Amino acid sequence: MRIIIENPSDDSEDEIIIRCRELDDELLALIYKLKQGRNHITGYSNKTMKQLSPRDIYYFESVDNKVFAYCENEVFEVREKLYEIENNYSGSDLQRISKSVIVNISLIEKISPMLGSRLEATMKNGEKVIISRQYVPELKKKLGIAER
Amino acid sequence: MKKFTEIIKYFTSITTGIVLVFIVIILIQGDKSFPTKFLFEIPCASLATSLLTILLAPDETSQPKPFFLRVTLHYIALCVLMTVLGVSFGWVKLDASGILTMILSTAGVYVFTYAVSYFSSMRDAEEINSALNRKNKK
Repeated sequence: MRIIIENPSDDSEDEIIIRCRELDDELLALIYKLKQGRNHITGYSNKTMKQLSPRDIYYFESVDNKVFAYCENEVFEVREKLYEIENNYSGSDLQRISKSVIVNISLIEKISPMLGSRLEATMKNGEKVIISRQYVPELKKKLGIAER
Repeated sequence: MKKFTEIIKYFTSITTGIVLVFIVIILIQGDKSFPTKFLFEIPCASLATSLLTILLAPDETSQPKPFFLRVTLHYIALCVLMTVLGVSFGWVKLDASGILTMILSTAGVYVFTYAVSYFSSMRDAEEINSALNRKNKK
C-alpha cells in the first residue's frame, strides 16, 4: 500500500482520499478511526467544559441517571446517555461491558477471571471495571475471537 | 435466546454436580445401586435450580459486599428448594440429618458449578488477553 502526502493549495481544505479495489473491514476500521479522531465529546467538571477525544476516555459509567467519562486522571460528566455513546461510536474501540459501563478496549491492560462467570478488566491507569458475563460474547466478537 | 443459553449452561453443570454428589453419597453409604427414578428426578432438580439461579445469581453488582450478600441469599434459596425437592423425591427425610444432608449436598454442587464457571472465565480471559496483545501490536 502506498501512502502519499501532498500539500493542498491555500484555498482548499485538508482531505483524505482512499483509493481501494475493495473496502474491507481493516479499511473501514481505519476510516472510522480517522473520523472518530475529529468527534469529540463535551465533558463537564467543576463548572468547566472540556472537549474529550474518545481515544483518551478509559470508560464511561452510568450512575444515578448520570453518565461519567473516566480519563486517565480526571472524571467528567457527559450529557450523552450510554446507549447514545454506544450507537454513535459503534465502530470504535468503545464497547459495552455491562448495563452501566462502556469501556475503551484499546486502554485495557489485562483481563482477569472472577467468580460468578464475570471478568475484571484492569485499565492502563490501574483502574478496574467488571465485565458482565452477558457481554463477554460481544466483547470477544469485537476482538475477532471465534466462538467455541 | 441468551437467557435460554444461560439456563442450558447452568442446567448442564448443575446436573453434573448433582450426579457427582449422589455418587459420593452412594459410595459413603456403601449402596451400589443407582435407582432409575434418579434419571428423571435429577434433571428436574437441575432445571428448578437453574431457573432459580437465573433469577437470583449476582452478576451486575461490582461491589464485594452486595455481591456476597446475593451469593448468600442465592445459596439459602437453593438449600430450601433442594430440601423441598429432596423430601418430595424421597431422597431424604424431613429431619435434622436429612436437612443437613441437603445443605451439604447443595454446598457441594454450588462449589462445583462455581469452579466450572471460574475455569471457563479463565479460558475467556486468556483468549481476550491474547486478542488484546495482537491488537496492541498492530
